[in-house]
Amino acid sequence: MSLVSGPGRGGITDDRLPHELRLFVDKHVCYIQSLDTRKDELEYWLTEHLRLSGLYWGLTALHLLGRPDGLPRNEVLDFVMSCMHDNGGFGAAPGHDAHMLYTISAVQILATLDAFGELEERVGGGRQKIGQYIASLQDTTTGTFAGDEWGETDTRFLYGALNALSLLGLLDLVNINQAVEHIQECANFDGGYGTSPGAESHAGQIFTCVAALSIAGRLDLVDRDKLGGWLSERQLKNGGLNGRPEKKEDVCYSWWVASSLAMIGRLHWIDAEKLTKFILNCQDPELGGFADRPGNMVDVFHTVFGIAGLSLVKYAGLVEVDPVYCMPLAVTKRALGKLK
Amino acid sequence: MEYSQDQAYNTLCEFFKANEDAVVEIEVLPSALSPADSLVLQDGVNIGIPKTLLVQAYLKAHSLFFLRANDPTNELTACEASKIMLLFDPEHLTAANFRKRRLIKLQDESMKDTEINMSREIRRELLFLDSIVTSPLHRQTKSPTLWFHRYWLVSNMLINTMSFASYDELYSSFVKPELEIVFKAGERHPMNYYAWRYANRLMKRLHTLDEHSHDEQFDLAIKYIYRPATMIVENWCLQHPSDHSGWSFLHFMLHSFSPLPELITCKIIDYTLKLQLENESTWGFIRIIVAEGFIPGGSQENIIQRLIEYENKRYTIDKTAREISSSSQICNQNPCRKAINWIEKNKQNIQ
Repeated sequence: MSLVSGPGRGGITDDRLPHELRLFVDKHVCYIQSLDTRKDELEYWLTEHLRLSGLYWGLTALHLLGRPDGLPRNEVLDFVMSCMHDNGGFGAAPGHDAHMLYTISAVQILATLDAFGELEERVGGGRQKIGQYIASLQDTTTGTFAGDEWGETDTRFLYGALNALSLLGLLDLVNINQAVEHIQECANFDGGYGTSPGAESHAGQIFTCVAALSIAGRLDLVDRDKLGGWLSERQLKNGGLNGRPEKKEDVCYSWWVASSLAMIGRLHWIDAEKLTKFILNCQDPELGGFADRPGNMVDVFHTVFGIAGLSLVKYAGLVEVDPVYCMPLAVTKRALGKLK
Repeated sequence: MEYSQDQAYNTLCEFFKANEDAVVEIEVLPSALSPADSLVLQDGVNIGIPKTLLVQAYLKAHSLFFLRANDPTNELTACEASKIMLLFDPEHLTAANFRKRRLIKLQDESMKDTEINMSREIRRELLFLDSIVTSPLHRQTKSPTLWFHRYWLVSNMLINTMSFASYDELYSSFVKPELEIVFKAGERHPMNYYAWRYANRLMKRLHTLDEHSHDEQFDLAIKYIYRPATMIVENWCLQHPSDHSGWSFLHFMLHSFSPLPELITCKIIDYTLKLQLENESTWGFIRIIVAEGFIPGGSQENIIQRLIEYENKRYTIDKTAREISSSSQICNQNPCRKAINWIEKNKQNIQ
């Protein structure tokens, strides 16, 4: 799965009337399916450092579009497993160092494909190994998580750890209470959350903290009105959402902001209709894919978060997304349900 | 001008080798500006690299780097290659990790081999990072991978080996230059989340030195470093009032290291009202700092009153409109009214 940008551009031309604005499902499916065929392009090699996450983004987008069989299952599994290290962690691509981010993407892909059985077949005790790798990255003094052996901590890794461990049924491997305490310390007076205590509030980090609290069953700790207020201020006049004050609108914030609002029951604090129009305007209607904003090059990252955003605001015809996991709700229900 | 992948790669390697003791400025040139009779445009420590050449160099570096997985004697080559890779793909974690491993290995070897000069190696690594994050390179200057790499280097290899005669020296030869790198990166890429995150980490790390120091004078001196650091950050924020990251870091500094000075708050408000600034980020800072309540209660109310008076003068308010708009979530309100409403709703008194 390549993360090459383009060739299309977002932006529907002005001569199209607003009521014709629609989701070009088939184009997006073709776009995602074509990504891995662009190996000759130079940028393909440049995005190798997050290839496994790209696969998760593409696969999730296809599922939300109602095309779960859009990518060849065995090839996807083969690629995922080729990224696995002996210590249970996954790298972004074969030969790349293991890291939390790609381990999470691997688990999400396996859950989406309902392939934990196949994981065990290929790597005996695979589930436990992955769980142990993730758990070993918890900082036992602060409760947060590192990304890898080099020690960078970030609430993205904390969220990812809880996300993956819950899907694996191995949350008991880590100290949830300590993780929750750490998230509390990352809460800022403006209502938002940052990557660590005292760090700037950012919609992406807010998503990670709120979703982690949700998995831990501690959404009671969130000041919903204050946070909801901060998040609702992300909507700009053109209907798009930004991630921080004075930043430009970006379609990926349709996910980070809207899912956060959804989790705290304040999704109605933004104008969903305006947001929908904005997201649809970010599509390339000819070649498929979504860009961060109209006129820019499309890529698979913005594609999945644009589609996920549309699913959140109940755009017709899309599969329901789980705001906590950014995966189809049916998938997370199945994965979490199996463990009961 | 025609060239091979090897030539592209070697040209860049030679440039870096020749300038490894300097901060260089790197620009990537669009094809329209590619030089006709040379591979790159070079002027001393400034280099303009055509994008197409950088790509070819990257591909060569990529294949050389991944060869080292099978050949440990290739380490020096892999190291050079990792530099070129990070230049074009700053998020290449595996390349960055390789460089960390190599530095650790050198450090271990330097215990026995006096030829290895660790402070020079560390300095050169920092200069390499300085060059990338302060150059006009859009993605690179905000790279979380590179900023963490810097923190790792400073925290694990540099800080414990530093010795300073006075707090002045520590501040002027280390803290201030590091903040200035952050400022420059923040100017290259406004609201540079990971640059400011580095500053946050650095300040916290400096604070931990208190615990290791047994010199009381030095303990006090560490505390004195934060005050001048806060002042230069405040100055930067006033020059970049739309930079939400700068303001957030200033807020962090005021909270963590100095009793929240009423003076700084009032100075910022004076500046904002005098210039009639409407930047969302500036007002975002003001509303938090006033509402949080670290300013004595009486002063908090005075400030709120002052803002109300300013709003009345600055903006023509229709009384009915004010009553309606004070309860709306998505505001068409002026930034001052928005801030006043937020303060009234969220204010607390810590005193």
